[in-house]
Amino acid sequence: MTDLEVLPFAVTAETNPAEAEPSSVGAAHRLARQPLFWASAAVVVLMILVAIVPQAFAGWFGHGNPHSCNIADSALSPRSGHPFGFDIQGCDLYANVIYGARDSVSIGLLVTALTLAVALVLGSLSGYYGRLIDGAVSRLSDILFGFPFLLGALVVLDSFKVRNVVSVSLVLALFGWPSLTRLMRSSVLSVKTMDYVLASRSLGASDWWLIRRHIIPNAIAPIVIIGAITVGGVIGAEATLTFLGVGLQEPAISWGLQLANAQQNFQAHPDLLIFPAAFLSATVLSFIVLGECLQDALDPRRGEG
Amino acid sequence: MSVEPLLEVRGLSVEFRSRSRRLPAVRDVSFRIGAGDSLGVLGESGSGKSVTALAIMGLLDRKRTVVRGEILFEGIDLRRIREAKAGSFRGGQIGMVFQDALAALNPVQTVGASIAEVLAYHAKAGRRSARHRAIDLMERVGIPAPAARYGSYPHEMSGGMRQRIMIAMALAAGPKLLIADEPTTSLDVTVQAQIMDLLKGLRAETGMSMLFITHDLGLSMEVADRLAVMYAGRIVEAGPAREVYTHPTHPYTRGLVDSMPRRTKKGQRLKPIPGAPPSLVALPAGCPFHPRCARAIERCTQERPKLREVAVGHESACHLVLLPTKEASAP
Repeated sequence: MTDLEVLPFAVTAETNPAEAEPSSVGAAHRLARQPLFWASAAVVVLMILVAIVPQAFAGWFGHGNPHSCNIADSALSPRSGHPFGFDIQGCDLYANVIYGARDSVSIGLLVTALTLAVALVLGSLSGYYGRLIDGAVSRLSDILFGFPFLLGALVVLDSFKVRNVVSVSLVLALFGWPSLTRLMRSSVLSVKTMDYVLASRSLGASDWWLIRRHIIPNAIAPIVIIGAITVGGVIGAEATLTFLGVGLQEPAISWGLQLANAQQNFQAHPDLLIFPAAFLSATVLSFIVLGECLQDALDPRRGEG
Repeated sequence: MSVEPLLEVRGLSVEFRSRSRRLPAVRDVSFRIGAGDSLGVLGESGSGKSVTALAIMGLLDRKRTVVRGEILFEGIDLRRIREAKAGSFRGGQIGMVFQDALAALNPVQTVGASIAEVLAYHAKAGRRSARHRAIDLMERVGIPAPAARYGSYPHEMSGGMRQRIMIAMALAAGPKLLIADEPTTSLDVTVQAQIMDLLKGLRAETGMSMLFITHDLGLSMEVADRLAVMYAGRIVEAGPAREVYTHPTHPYTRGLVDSMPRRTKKGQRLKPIPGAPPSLVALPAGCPFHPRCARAIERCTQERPKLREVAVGHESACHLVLLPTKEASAP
């Protein structure tokens, strides 16, 4: 008899979907209902896989080595075994585009991760505490805003002896963090005045708790979507710097280098431009759409009208 | 009165400061609430009643406000304790319910998690035990199927349910004093009655004291043992609720009583108080109520009346303390 009385309660406690971490579970449920999320996430995951293990994808058509080139094949159009044709050096373009994902996607993700981390910490601190921290962060970002982005990156990168994924990422992050930080700061400023922050404080929450549980979850949505868009923008910026000769250097393989090389020949051989550009666009678009889906999911008031 | 009161406020003044001007929102407010007692603070918007509550909780922005006076909770001056210690009073010893529950609940956190978080930082409860206790609290404040509603978001609930969640949060740590700042103002009348019943029931059950802030005299009569009527940042009349209601001695209180529908006979017009509350930056000289007062005399325009006792435990700040009239003493 006592078993029967205990049972219903135990069952509700165990089967309630909100058992573990309610807010994130709710967000995951809302995400799962969006077809666009699945589509964009699939492309993003695919691109990340390609970036991690390009050899698994490059060899699909039998010519997986991006460095095995024959100048006699220069700019040949697509054919059996070479679905994208050959680049101007006579290398298999498909293998090169696949291998190009690695540096482009790594730079995109690394720079975004760095700027998001800086924005989250500095934006929250300067928005929440104001005064000295805010003044210091704001002036520092003003100074960096003062540099024309390309010129600044050019000057800094030019002084680097080694230009690889890490150094290019650091320079892009150096000039990229102020805009996301400002966004986070203004977002925190508006969330800070909300009644629920005051209410939680009235019930004993500490500053750290408020920032962690109330301010950041409510302030983060705009920087998540801008962050996702940033991935695309960064990949483009890397391509621009590479095109200008201060980004990645040969023998690195990146979409930026491929587009830069195609620039001279694309009227005669549009394939050279189209294939890397298609991969670049698909990747950028997927990150942007993913960002928007995340925004919808993080804010439970949206999408349920 | 020999026993030390739970909360004693002495000479509380709050001034908002901006670069160009100073705005005195609360001036020289004093009152006490004994253990288990309930005080109703009555006043219009801008009378300083909510600011008083925020000052007690220490929630006013220190950069923009100047607070003076003493706020003694069980003899400890809340204004003198360090911020780190203040956290145990806020929510722990003193719970607070806000007016607009939709705004006062984190929109991206489930209501259950909001209650559990109070338990986490006061009772140091683990996640699982906090969850069970939050569900118990939801049941206590009358939320049907509490386990199922644990994972709901504030926007998925009705106004009355949200206010119940707020009350559950305020009660989570078992406070000795509950401050309710217009807890029913944003609700329908029927829901309002339910929330009032809930508050009365909880008070009877836990024996906690209550500071009930409202602009509605009728509501304050439902829960308050004592009433303090505020006007332009000051207490103008204070006393036992029943007595203040039946024998208002200040013309402003009298006006509030007369403007209540239930006191007007059929066919009779309601008697509103003429005019509007004064701006805090440009208070009239003398008694701040004199421009709206039908009985004002010469002296009222020059000298501000001080609070003085008119009967045992009943104070009034008026030069002409009203004598009980036939009209006022009618039930």
